[in-house]
Amino acid sequence: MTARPAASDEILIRQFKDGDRNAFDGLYQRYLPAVYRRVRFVIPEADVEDVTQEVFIAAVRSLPSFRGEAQFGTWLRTLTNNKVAEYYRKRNRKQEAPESPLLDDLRQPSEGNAAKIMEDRIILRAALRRISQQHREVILLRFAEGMQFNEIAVLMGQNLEATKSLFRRAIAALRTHLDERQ
Amino acid sequence: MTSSNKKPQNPDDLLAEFADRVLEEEAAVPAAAADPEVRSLLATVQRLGRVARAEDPDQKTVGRMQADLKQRLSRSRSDTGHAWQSQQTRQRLSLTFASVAVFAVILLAIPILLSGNGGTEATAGIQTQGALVLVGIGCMIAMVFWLRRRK
Repeated sequence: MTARPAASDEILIRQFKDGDRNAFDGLYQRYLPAVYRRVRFVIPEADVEDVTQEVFIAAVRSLPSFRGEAQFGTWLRTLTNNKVAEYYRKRNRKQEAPESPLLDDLRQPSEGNAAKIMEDRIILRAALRRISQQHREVILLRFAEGMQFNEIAVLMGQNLEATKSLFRRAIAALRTHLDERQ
Repeated sequence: MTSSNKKPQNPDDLLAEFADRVLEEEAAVPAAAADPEVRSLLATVQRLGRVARAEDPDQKTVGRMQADLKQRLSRSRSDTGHAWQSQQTRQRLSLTFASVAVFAVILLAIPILLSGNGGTEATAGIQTQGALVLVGIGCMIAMVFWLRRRK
């Protein structure tokens, strides 16, 4: 999750740790879109807001022990991935049918182009769950978080060419699973 | 330099550039990509881009979610407070009960122990009773320690 302006996360975190609860509002507004988009790519529509909120609740609870060894955005991304994994663990424990996310989404009313996007979102989500974590991550960083390839390369500790190559392999893996569904 | 002299673009770069483009706006799969494999990858990127452009929460959603988060946080704070208070009460009650029990056993034990030490007429029965009381006191003390450790 990319920290936008230099209006520093560190200052807001310090203020929060010093007891200023409102300091978290700044972090929430800054990071909500990225967390929301990432969650929306991988979680059924009906549960997107709930899981997003759980990420931020976990952040508020863990922030006092955040030591700033990683960037706040990176730390929040890890929290988001953990919450998503927890969501599917709980869902599997309830032994719900693997296709039930589709049913959840189809309960949402939609028309025309929105319906087409909704359908694509459902199919892509199912395919995204089937590819490797590394492939999924590069796709989410580019499409859910809007990071540039050079930023992704830095984050992943690779050069730009290797990142683009990983992206192509990720798209190929995704396409394979999309083909299987059609 | 004519376009026919152009070096064919590496598929990695072509795909990455197309991803940048579809995130900005709806874009058609470039005609330059003649290879069906590459065209199919570009079509997948196009699909991802279409979905990604529609993912942002609107201002109304952001406002509603922020209010909801504050509510959830204050609820969880007060729940934690209540749980902490009731745990404190439980701790106090069990400690009081344990102390009263120990005190009662000691009170009951003193006359028996004194009579056991005093006379030559002390019998084996009285000594056994005294030992039992001591064991009882020991058990009570152990129970108090156990209760304290559980917390």
